[in-house]
Amino acid sequence: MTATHGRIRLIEDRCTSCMICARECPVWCISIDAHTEPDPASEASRRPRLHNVLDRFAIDWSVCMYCGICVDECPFDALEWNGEHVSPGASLPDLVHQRDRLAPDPGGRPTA
Amino acid sequence: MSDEVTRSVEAAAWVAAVSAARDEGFDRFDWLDATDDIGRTDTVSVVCQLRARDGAPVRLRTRVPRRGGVLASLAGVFPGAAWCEREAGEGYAVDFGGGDGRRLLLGPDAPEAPLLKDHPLAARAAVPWPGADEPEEGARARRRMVPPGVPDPAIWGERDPSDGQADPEDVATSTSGGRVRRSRDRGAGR
Ligand code: SF4
Ligand code: SF4
Repeated sequence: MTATHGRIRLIEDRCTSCMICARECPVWCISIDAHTEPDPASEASRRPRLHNVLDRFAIDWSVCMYCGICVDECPFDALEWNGEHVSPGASLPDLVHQRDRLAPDPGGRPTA
Repeated sequence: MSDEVTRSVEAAAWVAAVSAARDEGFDRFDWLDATDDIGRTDTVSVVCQLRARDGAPVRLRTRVPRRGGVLASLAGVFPGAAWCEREAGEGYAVDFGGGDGRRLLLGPDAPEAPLLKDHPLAARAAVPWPGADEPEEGARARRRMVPPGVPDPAIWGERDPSDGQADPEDVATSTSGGRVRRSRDRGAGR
């Protein structure tokens, strides 16, 4: 793994809200909210399956130590190094990045 | 990475075994550290890695009791080992006899042997863990999850004193994170 350990990109359409990254992060700086919805593909069947829908995904860069454990542990390759460093913020809350900044192209492929 | 070779050594033969490895050509001291074997055996493992000039490593491993373990210092073989021994000795309550016993990292009021796994990480236990949530309705986990390094409350905080001391295996499971086990069910079968 040679990529710059800077910002991390969330590829939303791969994320299953499984919580593994949040649980493995040593400094607890990832927070995720999600809810479940019936999977439209299985609605016709007798027992519709549920799938997770991501509501919130945030990384607190003021706490992150850029270790990359979350990138390595995600079973769905939904996290990757973005190649850039985290831009400074005027206050600590500015360093908590939500989906709009972690996944700048929601639902689509990341723009390199 | 070349093949790793680990040699298990009796504690009494520790210095002799490391000297012998040095004489074989593993004459560069790389590192020395310890790990807590709680839940497997009542020992602390001390591991020392040496390297040969061509970079090939060898590891030597020995075990001492978890409390009050004594192991002869390697400072006479590799002076650089003294620094690692101070660090490992402080973290794991190992007395490196004949070495430098001064504290290296911890202040005078630090707890004894904070790297032993039965030392609870109180600061962590006091903070809500983001990993406790489950996707369903953003709710707290149906199954109670505990984060790594934080003791299961059933083992530590809320433990019924009449249950006696926690089983080392329970402690090890509890501090490695994941799902809280019903320790009572296990206890009943014993
Ligand atoms: S580990 Fe990957 S799939 Fe799971 S919640 Fe984190 S980013 Fe999403
Ligand atoms: S890089 Fe490390 S510290 Fe930062 S969010 Fe990922 S696991 Fe946590």
